[in-house]
Amino acid sequence: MDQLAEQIITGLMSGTVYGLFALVLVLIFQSTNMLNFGQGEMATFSTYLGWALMVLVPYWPGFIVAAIVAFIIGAALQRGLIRLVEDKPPTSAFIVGLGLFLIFNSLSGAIFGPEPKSFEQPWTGSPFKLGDITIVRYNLFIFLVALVVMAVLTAFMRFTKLGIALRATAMDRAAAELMGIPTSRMLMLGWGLAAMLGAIAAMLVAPVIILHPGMMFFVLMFGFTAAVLGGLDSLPGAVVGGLVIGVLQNLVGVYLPDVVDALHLPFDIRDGNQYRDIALVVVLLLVLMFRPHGLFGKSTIERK
Amino acid sequence: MLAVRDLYAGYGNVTVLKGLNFEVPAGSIVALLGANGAGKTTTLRVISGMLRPSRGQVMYDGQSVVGLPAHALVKRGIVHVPEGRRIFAGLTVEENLLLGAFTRPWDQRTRQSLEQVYAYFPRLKERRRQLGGTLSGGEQQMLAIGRAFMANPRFLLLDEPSLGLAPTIVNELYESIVRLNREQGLTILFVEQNAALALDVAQYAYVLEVGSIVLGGPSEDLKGNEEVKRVYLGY
Repeated sequence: MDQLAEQIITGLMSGTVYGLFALVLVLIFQSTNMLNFGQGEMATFSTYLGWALMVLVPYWPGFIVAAIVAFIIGAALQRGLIRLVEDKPPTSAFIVGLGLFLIFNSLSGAIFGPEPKSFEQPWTGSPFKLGDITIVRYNLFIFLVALVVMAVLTAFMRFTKLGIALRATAMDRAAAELMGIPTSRMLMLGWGLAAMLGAIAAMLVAPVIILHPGMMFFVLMFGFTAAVLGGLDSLPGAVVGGLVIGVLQNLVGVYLPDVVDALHLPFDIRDGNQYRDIALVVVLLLVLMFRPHGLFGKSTIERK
Repeated sequence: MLAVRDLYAGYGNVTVLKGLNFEVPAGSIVALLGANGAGKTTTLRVISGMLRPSRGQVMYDGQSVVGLPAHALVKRGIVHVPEGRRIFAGLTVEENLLLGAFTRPWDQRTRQSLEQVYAYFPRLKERRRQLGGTLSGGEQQMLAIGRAFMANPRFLLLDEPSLGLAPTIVNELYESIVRLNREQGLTILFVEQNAALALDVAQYAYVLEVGSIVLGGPSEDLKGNEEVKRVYLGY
C-alpha cells in the first residue's frame, strides 16, 4: 500500500508540470485557435537563458529574469509573426508552430551546444518521510512552485480587469473589441503569459530530465494529452488532466512491467518508460473516441 | 451628432452600401428600416469601426471617425450592441457588465452605473452570479444593452434588439430603450425588422434599399406614406 501511495504522490507532483504545460497549450488554443507545437522548444530556449544567468546570479533572480524574458519573447512573436496568420486558415498557424519548433530547437543547439547541461536544483537535501512514504525534496519543490503559479494565474484570470478582458477576448474577439478592449494587445499578453508559464514549467523539470535542446518534447506530448483529456477549451480541465496523466504515467511505469511479466507474453519489454508512452497514446485514443470534448470541455456544436 | 456622407462599404468584391447619406440628431431615437440584405447591419458596423468603408465619411461631433479601431470609438462614446447579442457565455452576468466598462476605471462611479443597470433590468441583478450563456434570449438582450450602458455611452447602436424574442419581452425591452433615451439623454440608432414597432419608438426613420436611403423623415410622416404602408407595414 505504501508503495502505491508513494507512486500516486510522485505522480501528482510530476502531474503539476504537465498541468502547467497543458495550461500553456490551452491558453494559446483558446486565444489564437492554434496548437503551438513550438511551445516546448520556446520554453527550452528560455531555460537555457535561465541556466546561463544562474552561472552569474543565484537561482531565484535567474529564474525570474528568464521568465520575464520568456514573456517578452512570446509577446514579440505574437506581434511580429502570429498576427500575420491570424485570419489565415488553421494550417498556416500549424506550419508556423512547426517553424517555431525548428527555430528554437536550432537556436538552443547553436548557442549552447548539444551536450546536456545540469540545471541548478534548489532545496536539495534528504527526502521527507511521511510514515513509510518517502517524498523527494525537489519533487515537493516542483509541486509547490507549480501550485503557486497556478493559483496566481487563476486569481489573475478571475479577479483582475485585464484577466477578465483576456478571457473575453479568447471567447469572442469581435464582441470584446466592441467593449473597448484592445484585443490585439490582449493576444500579445496571452502569448507572453503562455511563454512565461511554459518557461517556468521547463525550468522546474530541467534538473530532473537534464537540460538539452529536445528536453521538452515529452513534456509537450504529456501536456498535450493532458489538455485533450481535460478539454482543449478548459483551463481547470488542463490542470486536472495533467494530474491524471502524471499519476497514470507513474503507475503504468511501475506496475505494468510486472503484470506483463506475469502474463508470459512472447515478447519482452523490460523498460517501464515504453509502457508509459504506450499508455499515453491509449489515453489520447480513448478520449478522442469516446469523449472528444474532454472531461471539462464544452460539447456544444456552434453554427458558424 | 452623427452624419453619414456618401458612404460606400462592402465585403470583398461585394459592395453593400452604395452612397449612403443620413443624419442622427443629438438626443433622438432613429430607426433604420429595410429588407434583409439592404445594408442595415453593415451601416452599423461601419459607424462603430468594425468595418472600414471604401469611400465616404462618418462624422461624429463634427469630426471624422473613419479608420479608428472599434475599441477606440467606445472611449469616444459610440457603443454598438451587435446582432445576436454576443454575450460572453462563459463569463458571469456581472463580469459581462463590468467588461462593458472596460474603458473606464472600475471605481465608485462604475459601481453606480452597475446599480443603474440593475435598476433598469432587475432580472439581471437576480442572476448576476450566473453565467451569461444560461440566460434566456430576452435576458441576454437586456444584458447586452446593460453592458453597452456600462461604457457610459453617448451614442448607442442597436442591431435588431427584438430578434427571436417573444412579443411581451419585446415591448418591455423597447420601454427600457425609450427610458434610456429620455432619462440618460442617450442618442440611439437602431435597426428593426418590425417597422410598425420601430416607427412607434423612433422620432425619425430611414428606409434603406439595396445600399442607399430611399426615404427618410419624422416617423409620423413615414407612417402616412403609401409606399411605407404597402411594403413595410403591410396594409
